[in-house]
Amino acid sequence: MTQEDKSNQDALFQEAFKQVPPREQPSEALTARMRAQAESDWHSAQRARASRRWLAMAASFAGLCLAALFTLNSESPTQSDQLAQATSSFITKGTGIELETPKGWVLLEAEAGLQSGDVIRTQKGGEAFLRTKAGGHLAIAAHSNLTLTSATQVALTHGQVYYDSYARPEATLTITTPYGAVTDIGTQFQLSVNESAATLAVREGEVQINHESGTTTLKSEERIQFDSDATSAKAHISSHDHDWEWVTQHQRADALNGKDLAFAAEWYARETGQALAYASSEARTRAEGISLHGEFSSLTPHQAIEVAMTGSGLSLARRSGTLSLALD
Amino acid sequence: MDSVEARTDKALVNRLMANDQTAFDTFFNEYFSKLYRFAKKRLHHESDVEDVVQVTLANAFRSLHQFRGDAALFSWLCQICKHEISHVVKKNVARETHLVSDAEEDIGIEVAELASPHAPEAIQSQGDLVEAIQNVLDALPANYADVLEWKYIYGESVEEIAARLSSTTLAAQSMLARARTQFKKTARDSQQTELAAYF
Repeated sequence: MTQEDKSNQDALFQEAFKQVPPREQPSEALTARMRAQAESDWHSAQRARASRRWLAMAASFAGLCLAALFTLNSESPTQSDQLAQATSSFITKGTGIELETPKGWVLLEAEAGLQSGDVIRTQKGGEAFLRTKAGGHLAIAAHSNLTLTSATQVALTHGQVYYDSYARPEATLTITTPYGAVTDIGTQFQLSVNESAATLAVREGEVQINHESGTTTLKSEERIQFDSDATSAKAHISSHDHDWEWVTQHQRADALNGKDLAFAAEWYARETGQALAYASSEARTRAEGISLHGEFSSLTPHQAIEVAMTGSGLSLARRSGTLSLALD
Repeated sequence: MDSVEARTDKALVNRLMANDQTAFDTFFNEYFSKLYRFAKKRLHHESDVEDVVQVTLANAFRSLHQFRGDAALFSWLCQICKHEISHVVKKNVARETHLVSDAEEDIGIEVAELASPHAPEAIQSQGDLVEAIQNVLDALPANYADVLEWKYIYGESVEEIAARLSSTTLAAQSMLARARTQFKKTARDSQQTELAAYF
């Protein structure tokens, strides 16, 4: 094609397109929600296909009765092989965590990898902390039961979870319940499910509930209860309410070693749902100048900040949701 | 559909069936927006559009093994989508609400007609031409549609397009040329003679 031809082509396209508006694009929120749902549907379809394939193979070898037995015994490694390629979450810590297998419930240890499709539960007195591939943190309270549907979706059938996306847009998580689905929009929230209803409380950010009756958005410090038929009126819950304490108690100060006191104070404020204020610029300068060294990883946020403050020449005061750091 | 395109579509479907996460990402990025627009043109209510697209994708995943590669993957997806749209329209008609603009025959548009929803002589207004162009864009691979949109709708220079693509100006020019060629071919293949003649 000559240069003249190219110019003509260009002119023709320009002429034809001059009245054409940009193609409509679905919103980012919708795209994220649909992606999560589609990914979940894809995994479900894959699992169903894998099961059918194994059932057919088994049937051809040993007849229908033996096939059922064969499928039960062989499905796990086969499925695991396939799911190993899928995205996964990891247990960062916890106790009393069990994974459902064809042979029954198997106890898991910290650092165990989880695959999409895995069903886990926590024993009475147990707890689990998961990190999703996208960097979100999911805390699971005792006596909870959930399915890791995909990297961006879990199904909570019973119990209580707390999710913190650490404000990463890519860490959006949808949690489905028997009464509706909730999707975070960069946030910290808590969701509990029992035999009759689900309760959602948002500590920070926004969460969307997709319910039979429509879509509801919950903002920071709002709480709502919903069942299959209806949602309750929104109620207020403070970001430092005692209801969040179970998560705070189970958090550990893994990342404080080598950081300064200002970082620790900021981390502690966020973990406890409080704002941080400095009484003076001198107090801030002092906090930024104190490096923390030691073994913090076994300490709760409350213990860690107490240790960090010792001998700092600073004091920490708590007043209606605000932590105030001042020189002694 | 040319054989290269058929092989690419079939390969993508095979990878999806092999649980390849990157294949899922490619599939979703390529087709979600297109399906959304396809449904949106035919349904009035956003909630219906979302439902239809979600069910379409779910049904497609369940039926991946049935995709033979005879038609383009997007055409195959549109067939599933049309079926779902038809279902919603019937339900809404039964409720005497949310009726799609023109009758259900609109829904029966063959996917090959996606890029040519009307006979050439029917392209009587600028609106028809605009719709036809947008339909052809959606029938193209996303990267081709994007560069054409950037160049001729947003009026970006080749240098700006190269920056978007993180490539050289020469590479951007080359992609633009291929996109134009593919656009014309798609318009012709869909018997959109008037549109093809325009170029």
